[in-house]
Amino acid sequence: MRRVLLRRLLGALVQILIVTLFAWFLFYVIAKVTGATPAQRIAGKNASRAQIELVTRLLGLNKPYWQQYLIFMNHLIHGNLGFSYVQERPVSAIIWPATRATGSLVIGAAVIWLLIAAPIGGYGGLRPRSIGDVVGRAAAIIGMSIPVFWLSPMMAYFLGYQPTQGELFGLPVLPVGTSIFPIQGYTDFGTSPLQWAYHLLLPWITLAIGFAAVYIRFIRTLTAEQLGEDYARTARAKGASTRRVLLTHVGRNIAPTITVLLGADIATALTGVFFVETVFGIPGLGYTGLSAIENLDYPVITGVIIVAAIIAVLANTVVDLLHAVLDPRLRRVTAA
Amino acid sequence: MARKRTSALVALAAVAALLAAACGSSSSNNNAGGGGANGGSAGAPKAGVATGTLTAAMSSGAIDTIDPNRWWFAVTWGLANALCTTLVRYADKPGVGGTDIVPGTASLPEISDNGLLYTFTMRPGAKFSDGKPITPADVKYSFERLMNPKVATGTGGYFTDLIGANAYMAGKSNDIGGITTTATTISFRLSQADGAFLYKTALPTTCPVPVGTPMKPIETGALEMNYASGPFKIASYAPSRQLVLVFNKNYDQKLGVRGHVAKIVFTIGSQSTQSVLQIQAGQLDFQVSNLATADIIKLSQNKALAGQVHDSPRPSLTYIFLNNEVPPLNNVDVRKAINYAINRTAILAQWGGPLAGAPSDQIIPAGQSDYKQFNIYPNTPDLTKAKALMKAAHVKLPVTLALRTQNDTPGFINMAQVIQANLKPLGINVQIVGTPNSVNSSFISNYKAHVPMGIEPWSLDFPDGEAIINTGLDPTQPNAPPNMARWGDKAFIPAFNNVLGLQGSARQTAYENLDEQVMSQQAPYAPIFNPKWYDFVSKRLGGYVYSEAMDAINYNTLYIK
Repeated sequence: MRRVLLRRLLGALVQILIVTLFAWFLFYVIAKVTGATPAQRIAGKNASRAQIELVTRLLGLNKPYWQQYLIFMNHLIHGNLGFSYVQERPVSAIIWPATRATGSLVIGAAVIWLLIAAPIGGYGGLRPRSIGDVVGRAAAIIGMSIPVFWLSPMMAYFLGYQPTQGELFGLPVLPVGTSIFPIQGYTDFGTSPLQWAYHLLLPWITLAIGFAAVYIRFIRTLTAEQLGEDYARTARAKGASTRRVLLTHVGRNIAPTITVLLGADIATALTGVFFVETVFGIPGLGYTGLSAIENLDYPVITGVIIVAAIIAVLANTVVDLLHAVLDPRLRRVTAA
Repeated sequence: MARKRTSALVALAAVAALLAAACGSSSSNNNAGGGGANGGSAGAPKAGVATGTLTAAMSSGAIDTIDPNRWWFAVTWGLANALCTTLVRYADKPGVGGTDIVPGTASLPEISDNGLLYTFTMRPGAKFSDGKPITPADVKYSFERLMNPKVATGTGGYFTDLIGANAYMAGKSNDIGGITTTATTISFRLSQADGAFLYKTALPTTCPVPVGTPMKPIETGALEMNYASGPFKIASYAPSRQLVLVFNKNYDQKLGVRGHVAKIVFTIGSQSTQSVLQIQAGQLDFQVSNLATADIIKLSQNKALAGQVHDSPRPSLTYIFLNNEVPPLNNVDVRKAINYAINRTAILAQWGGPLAGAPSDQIIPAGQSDYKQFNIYPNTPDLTKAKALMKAAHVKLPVTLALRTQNDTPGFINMAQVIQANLKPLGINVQIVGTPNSVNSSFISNYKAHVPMGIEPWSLDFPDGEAIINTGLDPTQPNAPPNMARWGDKAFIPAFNNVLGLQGSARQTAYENLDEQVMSQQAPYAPIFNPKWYDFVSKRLGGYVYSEAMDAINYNTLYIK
């Protein structure tokens, strides 16, 4: 297992190096042929000549490319993502809170989509073509068909706004002024954990619906497949309860597949929850990236790309390691 | 079994805690935004008494700078009006009354007979928010800072008539000789008469800063935390997140009774449609960025909300610039043909229709004192005339022309699509290029980019024709960033220069004529419409005034009912 761990971490390191090299190439080499020097872009559209010279000196942009890359990597290794001359703050001070906000949104949503999908998918696999299964599959198809850019404002409208007007899904059943969910806004966990959860509940549910739909179908199919395997039939024949067969035998066998899927989806969601962040006013990575593009804040754009890529690489590494922990066969194959 | 019960209890506790959070949030939100009964003062405000907290929202890119000598976007001009008191300022009145100049940190100036010397006497009580008095030396330093190339403000060019200003801006001098001070006065000596100079001394970028403030942009908000001169100061600023203004206790109400709330909390990065819902729900007081067209229509149709909706004509023009250096737009007949072919009413419909503006075929916005209606081009297409002009132009057709516009504000791409359809019958294939505003503006303002056409909104920096005609179409500077039409007809140079020195009604008439002559003879623009300012505010918000001069809500008059 130690060899697996070492090989995977080494692989992750190489991937991160490639990603950072790509980001550096994009913003420091290619940028040079698009009209403005990297120093001009980094210093911002209103920078004076003195500021541009200062940036050039600080980042070694007057040195050969290989030295520029080493300086860039040296800064990165020390957690220095650069300085935003638009916001006059270190990029890390901008990106770290944004990463926390996006992380809060995605991890919370992942918990919810698993809580929804596991029982519905498991039941569907256990009782295929039953009424419960048909309803679950229909819900899954609807969930997959609803685009998140439409669902987000609808959720905010029906569950955030309408209750304040005394209505729930158009029916006048609530006292006017009822507030079930906030329409938009975000509170940092450090400020108030309760307000943090309260403000994230609706975004969590919104983001979770689409993913839950996919997971219902996956879990249903995998469960049905595994229940048809010899080991499951043997366990049943030996008198094991349905609950025990599902949780102990089938669950253990489908867990590695679900874990791989979960890792990939969390990594995708972390860097792609822009619509949910925008509608609910969550200052996450997507919002920060877009805001940086609007303000031509190149250091922040670079930082967002690097952090997003590192998150994706790390998420995949963790998933691979978890996969190896859950599936001994993979451990042996990987180590051989 | 024990574990199961524990999980259930934990779940129950979590639900209870979230419900408690919901209730807490609900009440706090209502107090912040909609709880008029217990949220603030009752009735009309009293001078110097500031109570309650207002909550507001704005889009992510609404604040381009927070440096008091660099304000540029309309939202920051609104902030400047609350944070700064300039030498003279605009009256806190609605409508055209809001363009009247009143005393600020100084009394109205004495102007020499030849119009070349303006002398302002400082008023007692003018102080920074740290309690120190604002001196004439501070004001002189502020003008030097706004004209300093290192600070890179956008309004230094308005002061080139000041003696010594050009040398100072070129870095050939450390001092602007035309600005002199005594212990109580500051004087501005001009090289030629400038009929709009008084307006220019009220520009938000003339916001006073203390002598010694670094000659470089300061974007942390620190200057207006410590040296605000208006009825409010900045309490905290987290870029792209939140801005909090608090009442400035060192603002002397004898300078003008302004500021009636203790705090205004702006959330940055809110989506306007969600903000509208929050205002309706009583969770927000107002939204400072543009409302979406769909929301404007929806709100206007709801009669129950009539008291919360405010619309005002803006000193602004949305237009198509036609690059006079790019063929076939270098042919005046082609430019006129475009003016005849576009459907101004249909283009405006993409922005919200009559609720959101009025069609215009002139450069100076309707409602300005130097506006006179001429009806040169129609609101709906006259294709017969347009095609005749194209034929007279002898242009080889079809021709493809790029039309650049911003794609991060709803409406612009839709307007471009209507223009594309309108110009097709003339043999002009319009290729729409949409980019974020920041990218788009850097392209269209660069003469080397040779952008053929673009849709641009233009708001006047002060209520005078100079702020749009001379600034946007200066024929002596076809390569200047604001002259996006790259128009440089030398025949118009004397008229453009002459009007600058005129005053009063002679100036108004000259601008009326210039507007008519430029559009009927040269058509460097295809004007589309004059937009309206549309606001939707909470029920508890009192004292609403749209400042026409600042093109923003006036925060100084707001109070909680």
